[in-house]
Amino acid sequence: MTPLLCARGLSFSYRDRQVLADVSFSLDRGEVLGLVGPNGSGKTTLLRCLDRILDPEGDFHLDGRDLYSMSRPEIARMIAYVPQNSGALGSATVFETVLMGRRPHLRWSVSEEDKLKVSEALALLGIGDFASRRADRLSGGERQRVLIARALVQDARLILLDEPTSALDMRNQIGVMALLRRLAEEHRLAVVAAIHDLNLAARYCHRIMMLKEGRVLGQGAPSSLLTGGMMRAVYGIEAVVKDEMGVPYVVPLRPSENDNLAEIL
Amino acid sequence: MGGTVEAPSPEDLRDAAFVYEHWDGRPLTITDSSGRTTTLWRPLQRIAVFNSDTLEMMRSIGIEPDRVVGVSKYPLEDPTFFPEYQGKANLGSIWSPDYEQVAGARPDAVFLYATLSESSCNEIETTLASIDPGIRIFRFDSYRPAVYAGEVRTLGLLLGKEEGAERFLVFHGNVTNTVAEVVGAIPADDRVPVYLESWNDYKSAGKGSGYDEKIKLAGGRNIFADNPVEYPVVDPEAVISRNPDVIVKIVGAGELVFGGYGDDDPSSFENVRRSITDRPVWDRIGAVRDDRVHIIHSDVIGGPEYFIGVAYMAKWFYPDLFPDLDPCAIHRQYLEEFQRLDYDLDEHGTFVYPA
Amino acid sequence: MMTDFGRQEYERLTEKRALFITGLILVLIVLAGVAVTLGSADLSVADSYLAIFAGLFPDAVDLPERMVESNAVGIVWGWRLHRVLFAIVAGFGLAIAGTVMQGVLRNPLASPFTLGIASAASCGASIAIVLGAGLLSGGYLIVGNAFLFAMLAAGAIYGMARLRGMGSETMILAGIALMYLFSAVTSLLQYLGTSEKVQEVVFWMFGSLDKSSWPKLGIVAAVVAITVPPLLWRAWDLNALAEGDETAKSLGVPVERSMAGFMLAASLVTAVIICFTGTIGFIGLVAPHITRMVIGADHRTLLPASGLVGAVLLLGADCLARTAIPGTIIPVGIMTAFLGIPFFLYLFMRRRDA
Repeated sequence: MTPLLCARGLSFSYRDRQVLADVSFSLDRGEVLGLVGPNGSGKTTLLRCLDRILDPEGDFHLDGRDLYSMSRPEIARMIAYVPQNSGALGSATVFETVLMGRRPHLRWSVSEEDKLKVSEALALLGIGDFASRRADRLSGGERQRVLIARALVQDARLILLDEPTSALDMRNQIGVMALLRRLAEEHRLAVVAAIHDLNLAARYCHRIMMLKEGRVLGQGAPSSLLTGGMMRAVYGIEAVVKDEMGVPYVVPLRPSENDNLAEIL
Repeated sequence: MGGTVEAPSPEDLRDAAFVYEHWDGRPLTITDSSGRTTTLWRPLQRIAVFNSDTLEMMRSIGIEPDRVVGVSKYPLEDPTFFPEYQGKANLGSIWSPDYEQVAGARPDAVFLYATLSESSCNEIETTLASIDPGIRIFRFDSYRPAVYAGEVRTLGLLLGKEEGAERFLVFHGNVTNTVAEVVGAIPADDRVPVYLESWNDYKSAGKGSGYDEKIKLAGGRNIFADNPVEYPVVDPEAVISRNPDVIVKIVGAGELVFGGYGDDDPSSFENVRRSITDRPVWDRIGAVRDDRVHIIHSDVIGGPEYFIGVAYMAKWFYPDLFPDLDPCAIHRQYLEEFQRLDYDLDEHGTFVYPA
Repeated sequence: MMTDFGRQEYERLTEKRALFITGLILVLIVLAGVAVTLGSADLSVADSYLAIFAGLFPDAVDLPERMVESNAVGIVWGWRLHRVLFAIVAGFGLAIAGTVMQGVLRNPLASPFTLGIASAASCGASIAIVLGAGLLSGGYLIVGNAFLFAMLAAGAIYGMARLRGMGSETMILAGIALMYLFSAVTSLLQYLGTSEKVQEVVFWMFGSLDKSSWPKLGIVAAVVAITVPPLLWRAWDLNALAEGDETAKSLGVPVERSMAGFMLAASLVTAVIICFTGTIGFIGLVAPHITRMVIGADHRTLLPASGLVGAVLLLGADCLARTAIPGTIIPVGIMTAFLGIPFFLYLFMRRRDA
């Protein structure tokens, strides 16, 4: 069975700077792929290329179709993109903000089906209670959920998320990541998320891909990818990788502790 | 015996003779139109004239072109009307004077407006005082009917042209008195209602404006005389409902800048006339119905030639009362005798329509 | 299943919007009804309406003697009716252009004039007035120039945006540059012109409906009728643009093409209106702003509602302009400028509360 998503040789340069070089990977329905790597490693750029907000070299097939030959509305029906949760949203209600996600399927009027999907998405993300609240009066966590809900109603097969947990507290971080995993598995979606926090990625992603300076340093299951050597190579830090019930987690070390490494362990 | 006395220069001698002949050997005190009084010990020989209306008035009383050393840019742009002043220094305008040219012309007097753009004129005065305190400033309007005769006389006195002034005033008085007498006898209720429009559509003349005054002089009743704005934009329906007997439309500026001395083609006047009579429902207005829509050029109704315009209007308002009044002949005499222009009014120039 | 979150409120919101639009239409009809009875000719209210009816169905109506004598039909159809309709269409057009601009530039204080259109039109008009030079001749000299220069400005914005990327900041920067350029030229012309010409230029820039006529109304109405429905059809794109270029793209909006199309459409409507009326300000700014505060930013209803608000505002301002001093008509652009005062005061007050 061919994977849902197949990217080969994606490269992108901007003003003589190579931001992405030869990125290839594949992804299947029901899988969550975590993009990890230092700042400036090209995670956001890769996501933008996948949604064709930027135009890279290389090719990208989604469900057998060449993405770069599709029109923008067609792409929007297949891929949803959740940008970084930076500024505030507009002053429309939450319901209307999420409804915006139906745009690729709307002609002009809003049907019952559209409204139903919005309601369902709100329920799924647990923000049904403030459907009528103004979107610019939400907390960070609530806002993130609104953005995800909007991506959901797009009925896309692939959801791209850029740092969906950066602005959230721990409880919300866990909540959002668990939700993404559940959505992928239960609704058979493919999810690619750029994630800052390695441990979060390790815990909730099926696979992770490590980027550094635009190149893929490695991809695979978290337990196989996250090693002390990888940490040194990518982040330039000393760290030790522990195992907690099959899920790896990375503990960065202070320099002076190196000598006592053996004793601690 | 004392020291030597320098012999007087030829200019001093000439000026002394002048003072003796014209001013009875005494210094002259002049009050100009802004009410300022100046005393002169010598006649003015080098005058810088910013006010082109005053220049025309000075020509009417016989000023020698040599005594004018500088003019504003408008006479210089009008060689048809001011041929003998074409070589004079270009002083710019009231709103942007060229002080270097003024200074370079070394005038002993500068003529400015009295009531037009007073702030600009005041500024010129102050600046000139700092450049050369010896320059005398005189302010004349030369376009206002109320002070016209007085100004002619004052200028005559000032320039030693008392005779020329009197001769011109006889001519001017003839026209204005003839009109005034006839018009004065008309009772207020019988005065002809008039709608006057300047070169902008529906821009009329309200209370206190110059055009309002001139309509009165010609015996008409301005239908917008009660309007508090000086040059109001009026409602076309108001003209219909006030039903004037005569319509006077002024051209010569704005979008309708044609006609006058340099233009011999009356067809644009005809177009203007037609555009007025074609206005919706205006065919109901008495003036349009009776074919009493007249076009007049601003040259003969603004400025020092206003009395010619008043004569035209009087004739249009009361043709039966002025059978012998011939404004065209008056204009011709003005140009030939007083403006000393070799200009054939029959062949050239468009000032009124229908002729 | 309790998946009814927000649907009821959303439906109520939709109803509220529909009600608002209906209410506006009613207000507009009433206001138009009042406007046609205003004027210096001595016509009673009933006569005015009878005259309208008689104009439409001349054979059906037996006019009373006094109306035939005063040519009431001629007055209403020759002077009042087209002016009232022109105010409605112009207000509608300017408001919609303003709404589109606010959407494209993502700035609730943008107006149809933000990109320099008004300055360009004024420059064109000045060239016609001061230098007598222009594209068309005679009565259409000023109109032709104003339109030409306004569209030149729109084209320049489009060109500059294509060079440097069609973002809202790019457009605003380009617009400011153009505004300074055209204002400078206009000022230069004013400096060189005679005082009468300067006064004319200033007068033109006030904005007035005095020169309205049936043919001009036809032209403007045609342009509005052609341009507005496509804008309405693409209302969702405007909604999406509000969230940012990236989001809009990800939602399937062809951002560059959309922004260009919207900008050019708004510029066209604005240009065709102000070339006849001069620069009437504030309608394009105030109408969408107010409307958005009442019914929110869904452009499917925001566009038509703003248009109606603009029509009401401009017609109302014109009624005031015609009746403030009896017999005289104040330029309507001055009235609309006065409108801006309470509006901005209100905005200012709201700020302090928040």
